[in-house]
Amino acid sequence: MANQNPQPEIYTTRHTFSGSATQGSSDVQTVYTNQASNEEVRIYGIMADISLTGDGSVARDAESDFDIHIQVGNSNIPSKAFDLGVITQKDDRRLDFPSPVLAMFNQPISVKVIYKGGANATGNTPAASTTVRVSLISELSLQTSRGYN
Amino acid sequence: MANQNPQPDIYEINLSFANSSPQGTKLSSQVYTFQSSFEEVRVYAVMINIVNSEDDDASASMSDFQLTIEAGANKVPSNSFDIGAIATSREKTLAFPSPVVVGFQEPLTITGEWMGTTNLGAATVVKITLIAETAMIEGGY
Repeated sequence: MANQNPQPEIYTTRHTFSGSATQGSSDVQTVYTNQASNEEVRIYGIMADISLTGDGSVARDAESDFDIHIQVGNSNIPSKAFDLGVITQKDDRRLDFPSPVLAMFNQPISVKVIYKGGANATGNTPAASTTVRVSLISELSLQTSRGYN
Repeated sequence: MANQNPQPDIYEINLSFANSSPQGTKLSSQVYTFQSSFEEVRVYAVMINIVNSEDDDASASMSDFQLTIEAGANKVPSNSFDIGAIATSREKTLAFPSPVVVGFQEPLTITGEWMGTTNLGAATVVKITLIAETAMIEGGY
């Protein structure tokens, strides 16, 4: 439940892949929005980065071949997985959606990161245990009669 | 109390993590807004810099920090969020979709947490800048 209307929300999920992860390995994390029945969450964009799991050093240059899939309720929005690596290599590490992703009451948000396994110095596995951090840049607000429905 | 309406306010917080800090180490600092009862502070964005003891950019080697913002008794946003991606971006700034509103007598508390699974490799300072404004309350948020 929001403490103000609207309320900014940043939902960060962490997806860890071991150094022996194989092509197609995926990790799913659920976001709990704790929203009330008269509230909606709008996800305006995502921010992501890739680091070594241990010391947190940036690893996006060595390993960036990941896709992301966002599921809201039982729907995939956007409807297909899309490349996460290119977002982490941008200067702002951020992608803004043309229109927000809507999450309503009792709709779980699942973030799935898939390792695509492009060949690197160690072959088709990550160079080391790697953590992909994804932040959903969102807003929680009371539902209004106008807008995205 | 603001000298103009609205008044831009930039609040800076430095969180100094010691070398070898283990995973989960949290440091907090309080921001004093000095606002009056008919004023509110709106935090529009956060700027992050991660530096070593010589004030050089260390975000590439130690980027796995999270941030929590508390306005009064509430966390806004309601969860901790990753600031490594902000610190390693070129602009080092994240604008919130809507501002964090801080009312009168609501302490503004900033907490940073080291998330790496190994101990921090060197003394590190996380510099957090809240880009805000103080304004008279006129309804709205």
